[in-house]
Order: sequence, then structure tokens, then C-alpha cells
Amino acid sequence: MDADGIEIYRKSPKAFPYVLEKTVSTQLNQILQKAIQEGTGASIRSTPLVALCLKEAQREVQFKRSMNSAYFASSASIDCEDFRDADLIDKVFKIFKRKETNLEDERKKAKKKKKVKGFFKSIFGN
Amino acid sequence: MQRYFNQLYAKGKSRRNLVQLAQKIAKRKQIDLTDETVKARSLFTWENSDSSMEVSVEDSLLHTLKQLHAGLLGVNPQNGAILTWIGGIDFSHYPYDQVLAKRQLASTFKPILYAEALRSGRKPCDYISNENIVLSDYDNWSPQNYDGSSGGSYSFAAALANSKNLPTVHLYFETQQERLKQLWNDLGFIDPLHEGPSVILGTNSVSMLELAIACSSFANGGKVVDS
Repeated sequence: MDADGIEIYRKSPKAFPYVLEKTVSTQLNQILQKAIQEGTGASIRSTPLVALCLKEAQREVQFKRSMNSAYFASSASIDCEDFRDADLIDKVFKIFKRKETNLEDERKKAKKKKKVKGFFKSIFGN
Repeated sequence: MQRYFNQLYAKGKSRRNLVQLAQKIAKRKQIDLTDETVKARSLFTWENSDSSMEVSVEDSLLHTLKQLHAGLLGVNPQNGAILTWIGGIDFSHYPYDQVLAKRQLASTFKPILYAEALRSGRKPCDYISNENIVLSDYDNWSPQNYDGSSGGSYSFAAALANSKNLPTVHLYFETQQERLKQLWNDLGFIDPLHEGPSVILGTNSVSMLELAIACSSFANGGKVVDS
């Protein structure tokens, strides 16, 4: 629309490609909501700009519909501790770990650690 | 001169650089800034809307630098429709579109890396190491969390929600680079993804428009729109 409200361009509807699975998108959505509720984005909720934007957006029927859609799952479903101290396996790894490392070594170690942790977890559980 | 400084500031020159540049120009034009060289300018005041005051070159520069240069973009994540496009605070003074201007991604890159990790089977409640690390092949680069904390481990979700750098670096090592680059391209970014671990701290420069379109897929069931 131009300044006089006259339509100057209409986009033809088309199907958009999936780049992420729905489950990944939902999980990421939950995590980003956690960022807004209790993480680094929490302070932005108190700014007038955000409050006004949300107020205006709530009037949009389509926006309200998308807010209620399955993609906007609550972050409350992430039910785990945010932080935990190093466990026994990590402490053992730390003893043998050099302080300096390089990219290639770290990639190899990440793969190896994943395998070893998986093995211990299969025996002892989480 | 003011317009020239505005343009430089909009291009990302720091306040310190601009003050140094102003001092150089003043020296070349034999203007003594230390004596607070003043110039009559018409200024708005609440008492008198057309008041003439004398201000120094430095005052003028400092006044400009105090103004927040910001843009705002609103995109409907389901169809890519632009709802709001505010390029700057005043086009007549700052004809520079902040929506199309490229800026370093910084921590806004993290959701992309975490999305790739989720695609590869990581779960929000998996734990990631928060231990310090020194990379000898990158000038002994040692990334830090913004609060300087280290040790223990963060849940995948908390590491992203609290924008922790150390768990993100550890996660990067687990990530297959080719898959990460593919996701980056699929999300519609124009420039290629940089190489090396500093990429996780957002060294790539993208526009606000590119980022908004990419992030729309997070709120749209994984479908990426175009605008």
C-alpha cells in the first residue's frame, strides 16, 4: 500500500520450504521463550516499546492465531536444572585434559566423549 | 561537516575515532578546539522555539553522538509480510537504512548453531560443558562467558537462554560444519558462513532483514519465508 492506501504490489501466495523439522522448531521456540522469560532477554519485557508492540500485535487476528498455534509451545515443558556441577566423569576427563588445545583435537575429543558418556549412561543411567 | 560525521557514525566509526578525526580536521583548518571555538547556530529550546545559541564544534559532535541510531523491523513469520520497517530516527538528518545495514550477528548467531545441534539429535535437557578452553591454533584464543563464569555444565536450553559462550564453543566442536553451512544457506543468508570457531560469537555480518527472515522459520514450524 502507498501512503494513500492504494495497493501497489500484491505478492502471489506460495509454499515455503521446510529448513527445520517441526519438532526442532518447537524446541527452539521453547528455548527462545525461556530466554525472554528468564534469560538474557528478560529485561526487554519491561521496555515500553515491546509492551506497545505486543499490545498492537494482539489486535492482529492472524498474529493471535499464530501465538496460539502449536509452534508456540510453553517453555515450562523444559523440565531440567539449568546448571549442574561437574560430575565424576567430567572430573576424570578434566584431570587428563590439557589446558591448551586446538580445533581438530577438540572435535575428535567431542566425538570420543559422547561415545564414552553414552556407554556410562547406558550402564548407570543419567 | 555535520552530515559527513553522521555518515561516518552510521557506518560504524566509534565516538573516539570521530573525536580524533574532528581534532585532525580542526587542526588542518586551524580551528583551536581547546579554546572551545564557537559558532552561532539556530537551536530549538522549550523557552524559545527559534533561539540562536553559540556552540562549539565539539559540542555539536557530542550532541549528534548522543542520539540513538536505531531501526525496527516487524515481519509476519508465516508469510514474510513486512509489518513494520523503520530505517532510522530521521531520514532528513540520517538517510541511512538500519534495516538493510549489515551488522555483526554477535549472540544472535547462537540460535542457528543450537538449531543445527537439535537437528543432529541434541535435546533441550542435554548438558554441555562450561569448562574453560584455550585454542592454540587460534592465537591461544580463550573464549569467556560474559559474566566470567566457568566450570560445571549447563543444560542445552539454559546455555542458549542465558547466552553462555563456553557451552556454545563446546557445542560447536560437536557440530558438523557442512551441515551448519547448509542450514546457514537454507535460512537465506547472502554471504557465506565464516570459517573457524569465532563464527559462534557472531563474526558474520548480516542485515536485520536477513536475520528476521531466517528467524521466522523458528516461529513457523521450520518453514523459511521470503520477503
